[in-house]
Amino acid sequence: MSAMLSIAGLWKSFAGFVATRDVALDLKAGEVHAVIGPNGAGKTTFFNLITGHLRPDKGAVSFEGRDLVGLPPQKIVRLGIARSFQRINIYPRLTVFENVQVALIAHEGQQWNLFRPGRSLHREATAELLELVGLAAEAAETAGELSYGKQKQLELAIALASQPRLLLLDEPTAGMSPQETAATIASVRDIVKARGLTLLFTEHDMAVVFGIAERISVLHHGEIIASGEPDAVRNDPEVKRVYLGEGGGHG
Amino acid sequence: MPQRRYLVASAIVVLLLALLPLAGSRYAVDLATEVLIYALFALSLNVIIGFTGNISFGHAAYFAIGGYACAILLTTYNWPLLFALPAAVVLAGLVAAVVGYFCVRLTQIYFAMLTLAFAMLVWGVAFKWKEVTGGDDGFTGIKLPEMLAHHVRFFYFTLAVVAAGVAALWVICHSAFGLTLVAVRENAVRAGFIGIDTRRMRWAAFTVAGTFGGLAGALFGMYHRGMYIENAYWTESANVLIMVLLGGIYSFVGPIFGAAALHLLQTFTNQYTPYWPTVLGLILLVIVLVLPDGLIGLAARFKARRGKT
Amino acid sequence: MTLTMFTLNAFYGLALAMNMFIIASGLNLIFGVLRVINFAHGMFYMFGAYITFTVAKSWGAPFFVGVLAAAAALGLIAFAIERLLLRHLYDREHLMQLLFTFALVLLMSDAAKMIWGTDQYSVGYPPGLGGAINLGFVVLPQYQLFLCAIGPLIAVAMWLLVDRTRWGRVVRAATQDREMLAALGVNVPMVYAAVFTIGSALAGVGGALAAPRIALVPGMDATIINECFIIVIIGGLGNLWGSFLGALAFGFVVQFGTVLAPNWQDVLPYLLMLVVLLIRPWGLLGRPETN
Repeated sequence: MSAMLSIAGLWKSFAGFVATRDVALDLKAGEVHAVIGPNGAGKTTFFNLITGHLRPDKGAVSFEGRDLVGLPPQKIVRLGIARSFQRINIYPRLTVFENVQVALIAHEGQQWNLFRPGRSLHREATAELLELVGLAAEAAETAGELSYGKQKQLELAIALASQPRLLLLDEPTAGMSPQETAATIASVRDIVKARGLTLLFTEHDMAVVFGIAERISVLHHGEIIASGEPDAVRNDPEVKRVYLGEGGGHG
Repeated sequence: MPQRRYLVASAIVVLLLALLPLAGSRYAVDLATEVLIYALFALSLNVIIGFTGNISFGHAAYFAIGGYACAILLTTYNWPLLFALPAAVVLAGLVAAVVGYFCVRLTQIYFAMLTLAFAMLVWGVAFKWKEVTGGDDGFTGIKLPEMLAHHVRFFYFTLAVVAAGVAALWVICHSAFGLTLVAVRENAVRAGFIGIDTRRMRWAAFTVAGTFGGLAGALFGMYHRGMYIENAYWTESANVLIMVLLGGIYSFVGPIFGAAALHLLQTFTNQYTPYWPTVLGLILLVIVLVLPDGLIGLAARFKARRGKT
Repeated sequence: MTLTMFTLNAFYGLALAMNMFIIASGLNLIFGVLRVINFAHGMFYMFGAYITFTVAKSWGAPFFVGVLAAAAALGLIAFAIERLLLRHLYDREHLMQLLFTFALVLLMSDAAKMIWGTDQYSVGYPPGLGGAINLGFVVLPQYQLFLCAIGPLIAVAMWLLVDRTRWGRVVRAATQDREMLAALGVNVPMVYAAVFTIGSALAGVGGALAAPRIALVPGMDATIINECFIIVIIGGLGNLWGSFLGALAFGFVVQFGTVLAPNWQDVLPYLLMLVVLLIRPWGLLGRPETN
């Protein structure tokens, strides 16, 4: 099976500091792949390079055969990639319902419709998505006033609204309590399997990662030092030295 | 359904206004005409401020273009109102589209300053093109059709046009387009990442704002039977900006209340004291230090407090 | 245009630029550190000019005492405003800060009317600077020469202050991360107060120095604030040398514009800003905001 997402020779520097060093990755359709690494390893930069928020200095990123380098984020979304952000990135003064509704409107290309009332569009699909991530009860609340954990769930709903085939989640459980983490990861896994999505996510909570990832890549100082199935990575001496040697386990 | 409540409320307001002339006061009718015009002007500006989150310092440009164009077409070229008014509005919209194309490439204060620069250019043209616009003497003696010469009939005409304008803006602001604009205001980065071309949306909003601003300007010119270059100066832009901020930018009707409140306050204050600036300054201080969401925010807080007890 | 005319106009343009720089640099400093756009800056300028008039003309003190009085008075007023009112608004939306400075303009404009009335005033050149220097092919007025000298002096002084002193380093750090700075024990509120005070005092000084050149009329604040915005935006918001460049561009364009295109002189500064923003959207030396 040819790769759905193919990254080769990716480089990115900021004023002399190398954030991404010769990164290569191949993602098969339907795969659940985790990118792990300590803080500062370059995980978010890596995501930004894929989703068009940053332009790589060198290297290729292609999705289902299409070259992504140079495309702006809004075009990349339309190709079937969706992403959540590490820092909460929602519409604070809109309601939870409207947050998702807007994503659906944009996905259907209806943002140019000056006549049909916004609030009446995609009501069912929005309700479904909110149900899926467990926010049905909070639909009428102002998004900015939700708890952190619920805002992260909203992030996920917004990402799913663009009906992606590839889902990129940047630290989906950051800042959550252990129960919230477990619940979130379980629901993410269920959604991904039910919809046949491909999932690429970053994390530094080991329990989360070894729980659901089918393949893991380890990022260290912008470079991938190991990549493969969970057991192989867990036992890789380099990974052990770099990751587990730095202050023991996480989570 | 809240929609129906708004519809009923608006119908009542329009009805009450329609009955106003029966009170027999010319002063009241004139004041109401002015308030209606400013309300439309303020609403149009809020399409930029409240709905895209940018501030325009140069909205008076489209007000002036609408006003001057309508005045010139009616008077110099003897066009019937039926053609002059739409033509003026379209012209204002076109200029807004051109100016907006350049302005939306920037954001925040740079955007605001660029809108100001273009507006002052419009002012400069109005100032220099004396043969057409009358320069700093103004363009006076606007020819109105016979049936609008009487102040009551002009009031009804304004009421009808403004009501139609407000209704159109309501539809636009509550459409899928409007909701998306609000998303752009709330989080432009996120909006970009659900597939929205934020620059183009802001451009469209700018054009809509300029179009309806031009409509307000055309009415203004006809009402005063003249257009003056002060109407294109940045002070006019500042005035309408304060109206919008006073009324509250986060609701659709906020600017209407802001326009009414500011204009009425100004008119009454000017009768008693020359120190209107001090009064306005104090009002602004109160808003900033106590009422950040404007008058609408105050109303919302009252409602919330009443709901709790 | 003869060499004489050209030199004279270039010279006047430079003098105007230096005067404008002094005023605009204050606005630029305040924005650079506090991220506040102070619409009342033009009012501070006007007060500076009027205070100089009162001290130098009405009370008969020497001109430069008037300038010092303007600086001190505006510094005091600005300090009071910052400590009592503005400090509550730093975390609010920019809209609110805008409205606040608008309010200041309105209140101060009526205050000026009450104190000085609506008459037009003028301040004469200080003795010793009222004459002119004859260079043979051109005669240059002394006061403008003085302005051409003091502008760069103030520019260098500000640069040294911000770039070479410890206090300056603190100020620069405050623009990046004030929470961090507070955590390091720096009295951030006092830094902010100092910046606002100095910036506003510069407006006062700019007004005082402008007084001999111009007519003191109500409404002079409105013209000046627009011109300051143009200069600061052209140069790049927050950049000291950008403001210097912007002021130079402004001074020359306005001076030569008045002579070569008298009908368009009011619009020329806006045209200049337009051209610059279309070519370099963040100003000549500016950079896009990265927050």
